[in-house]
Amino acid sequence: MINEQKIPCPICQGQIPFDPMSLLQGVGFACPTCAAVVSIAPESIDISKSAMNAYRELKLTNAKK
Amino acid sequence: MNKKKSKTNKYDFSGMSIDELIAKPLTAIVDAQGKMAAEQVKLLLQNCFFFNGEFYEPKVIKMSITRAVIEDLNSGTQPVLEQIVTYFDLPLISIFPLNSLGIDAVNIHFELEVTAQYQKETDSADTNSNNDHQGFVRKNNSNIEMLGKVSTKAIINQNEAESIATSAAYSVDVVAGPLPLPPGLLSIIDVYTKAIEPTVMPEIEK
Repeated sequence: MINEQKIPCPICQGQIPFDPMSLLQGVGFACPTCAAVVSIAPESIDISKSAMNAYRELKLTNAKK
Repeated sequence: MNKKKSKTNKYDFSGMSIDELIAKPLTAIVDAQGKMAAEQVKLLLQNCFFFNGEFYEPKVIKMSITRAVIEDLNSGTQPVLEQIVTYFDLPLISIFPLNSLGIDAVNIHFELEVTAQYQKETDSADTNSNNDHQGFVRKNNSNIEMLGKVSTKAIINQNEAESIATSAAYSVDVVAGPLPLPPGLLSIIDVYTKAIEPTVMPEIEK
C-alpha cells in the first residue's frame, strides 16, 4: 500500500503526490502541473537508505511484539 | 450433579466494574502508543540527527528539482529544450514517514454480562461529590455499582452434561495508519518550501 502524501511544488505551487518510502529510496516524483521532478540527490541516497532500513526494522520489531 | 456444579464455579467470578472492563483495553492501547512513540523518538534521534557530544544536529539531505526549460524561443532558431537541475537541502526528518507508526483507530467490542449489582449507602457529603467517573450511578443518597464480565456462552456437549466456553467475546481492533503530521513539523516544511522558492533579485541601484 502506497502511503501517498503531497508536497507543494516549489516552482508552480501545485501539489506533488509522493510516497515517502520511495522518495527516500531515490525515486523521483513529477509535478502534474509543471512536470518538475523532485528527487533525492545521488549523494544523499545512502544516508536516507540507512534511515529507512532502521525504520523498517522498527516496524518489523513492533509487528513481532 | 455435584461435579457439574463445581465445574461451573471454576469459571464463575463476581466480575469487574464496568468502567474497568471498558478502560482496561484503552489504557493498554495508550501504553502501547507510548511505547511506540518512545521507539520513534529513539529512531529519529539515531537516524535523523548527529549527536556532537553536546546537542543534536539535524541530518540534511540534498534534494534536486529537475525541470525542462526552453531556451532561444525568440531568436528565430530551433528552440532548445534543456534540463535544469536545482539542488536544495532538506532536513531528513521533514520527509521521514514517522506518522505511519501511529495508532489511528481502536474499536472495542464485547458483550457485557451483568453479574452483580450493589448498592452502597453514602452520606450526603459523598453524594454531593461527583463520583460518576468512577463507574458509579448515583441515585439519591446511594451509589449503585454494577459488576459485570465479558459474556461467555454455555456449550452443550454430547459427551458431557455441560461445559463452559473459556473464550469470551472480547475483541479489540487496532488500526495503525498514517496520522496527520504535527503542526510544528508542517511549519518547518512550509518554511523550507517557501525558502527554496526562486525569487527575482531586485536590480541594484547605481
